[in-house]
Amino acid sequence: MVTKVLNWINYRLPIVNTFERHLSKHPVPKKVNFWYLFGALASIVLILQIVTGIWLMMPYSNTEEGAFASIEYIMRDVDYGWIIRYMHTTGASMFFAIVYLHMFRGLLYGSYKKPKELVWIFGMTIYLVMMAEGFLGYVLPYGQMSYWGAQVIISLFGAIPYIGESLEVWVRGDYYISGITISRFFALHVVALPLILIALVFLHLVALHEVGAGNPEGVDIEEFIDEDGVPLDSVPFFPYKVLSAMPAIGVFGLVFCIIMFFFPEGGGYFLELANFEEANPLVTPEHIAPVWYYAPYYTMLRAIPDPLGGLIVMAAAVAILFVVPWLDRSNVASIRYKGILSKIAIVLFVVSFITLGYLGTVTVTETGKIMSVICTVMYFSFFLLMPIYTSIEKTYEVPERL
Amino acid sequence: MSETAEKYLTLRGANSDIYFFQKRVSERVASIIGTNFVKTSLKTKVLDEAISSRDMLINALNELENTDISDIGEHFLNVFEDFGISAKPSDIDDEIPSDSADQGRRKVLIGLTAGFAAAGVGFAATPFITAWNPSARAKAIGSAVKVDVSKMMIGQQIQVSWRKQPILIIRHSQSALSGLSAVTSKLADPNSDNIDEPYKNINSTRSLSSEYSVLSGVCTHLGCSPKYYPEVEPKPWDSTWAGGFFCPCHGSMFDLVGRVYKGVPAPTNLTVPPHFFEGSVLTIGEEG
Repeated sequence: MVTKVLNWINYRLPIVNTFERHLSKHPVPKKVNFWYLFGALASIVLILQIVTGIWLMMPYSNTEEGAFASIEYIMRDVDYGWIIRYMHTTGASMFFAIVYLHMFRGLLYGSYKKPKELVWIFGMTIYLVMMAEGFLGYVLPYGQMSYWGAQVIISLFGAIPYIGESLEVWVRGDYYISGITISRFFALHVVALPLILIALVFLHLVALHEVGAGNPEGVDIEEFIDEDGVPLDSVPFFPYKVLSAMPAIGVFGLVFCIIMFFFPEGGGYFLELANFEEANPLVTPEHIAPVWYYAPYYTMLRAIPDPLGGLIVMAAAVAILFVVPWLDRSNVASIRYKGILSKIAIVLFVVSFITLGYLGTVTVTETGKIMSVICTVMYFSFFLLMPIYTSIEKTYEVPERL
Repeated sequence: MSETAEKYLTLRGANSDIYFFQKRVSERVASIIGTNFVKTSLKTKVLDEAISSRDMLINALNELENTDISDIGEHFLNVFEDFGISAKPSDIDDEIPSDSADQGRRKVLIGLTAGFAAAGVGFAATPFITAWNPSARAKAIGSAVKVDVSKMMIGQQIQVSWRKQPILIIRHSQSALSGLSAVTSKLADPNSDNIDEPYKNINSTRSLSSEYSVLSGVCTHLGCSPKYYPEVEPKPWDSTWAGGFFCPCHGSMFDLVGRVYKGVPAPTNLTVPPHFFEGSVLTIGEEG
């Protein structure tokens, strides 16, 4: 009976073929390491964010008077409302953590090399939309940090010459971040950007399945294939990758639960303490820091003593990631077979990115200012010097088989 | 064959011929042969023969990659033909008779249609864009506020809200006002030349009063609210602090009348909102 129904459907819509092609029988390299888990974890967290988000929408009130109170209502009066909200806030931080590791994997093993440029670009666009999504979501509780964080970010538009100030008012729809701003951010956060995000994830995966997943050796497994065109050094996604990912998903779930139950505020890095106070447009909190996942870019913004310059540097720091496929001139993909210069460069890059992140969460000091300028220069050097150091260094020979 | 697999070689078909199977050729080769993969029988069952045929094909593909199509020798084209691959540039463009349609006229019509469509999209987008402007209600709420400033103590700062933005009112002592010139050398724009300010050069307070300053409490950097630190004493951000405003967000410094220091993120002095005094009643949000 089931087969009959399935056949009936499959004759009209190739659901089985599509499922086999993109999931169960999709060939993936047989030898990969833990760095290759984060894509799967990211899709799990995306689903979690969508589900918890839908549940949070129900009791949330998108008005100036009601927003903050409705968050308290969710936390105190809605049955298990606190767990749904903490799942959503922890999920947001975990989503960024996973995506940062996923992107770093891409830099390590050259996951952007020809012909995977589009996979990388779709991925970077996902990251960009996620940053907007995270920002909009952070404004919704209308706490002190929501208000002042949004004030700083919206003021960035004001730095654009000529149209800046009217653009600011246009984005807010008011002279301050009011209920009007909240409700439009709500619409963007729950409908517009998630739709775009899902479409981009779809494109990211279709593009990936067209060119095939990479591996830590940077070997092109499609050069050795069997009579059906399936690479010899690949295994089907199910059961091999699904089962081997299970323990990792379990460990991730454990870490997730420990944060959600015991440290939902993440020491003020995931949920900032000032946000437990309702927004007051007349009083800036003593110390404004972004949530940790924006901190590196925020430090760059602060390092430049001019709002427009800061805005340009910050935007460039994200934009430069898009062109990495054309900056890397190396004839090998993986860091394992690249030369010493690439290895030094990537270590310095990690050091600068983490330092920038740390500096973004602490108050401005004289040494901090100097450090942030140095680290900003290091960050950009990694990318701008990439065409040079990847082409002059001596690389090692990549094996033929995985 | 799987144990001793050779690059691009695979067993295929009922006759167990060895096949050449490259799943992804280069973009240039793909444009010439019309597909992005090459899959062809090498017409042999002997591995050594297959290997030499494969090397010939790989060489031919490399040749195709590196030279102009018109310069490629006959023998390479023959290699491809032997294996059933058509290595000829696609000539689809030539097949369309150029006189069957008026191409110029077609281009104009397509251009006009696209132009009108774009204009239509522009008109259709107008309500969506302008709906984001402040509504009539939001505009009405942003009208002027009045404050009686006679009760303020000397040196005190109070804060009122206009358009839900902090407006800072400071009653200066005479000594504070006479001390202003001492910091002039550290200021980026002591005479407010860089901003459009109607009250400049009237009073040293930058307002219409010789005693009160009226400042927008919105940092000109990124909109935080600078805090009032009137004390003349060393501060963590400046060891020679002479009193003024410090923005906690990004460390911008302003003097007691809101003039910006050099070398801080804020580009301009704090702005002075439209205001006027009627006796001791200060109106903010309207010109007198």
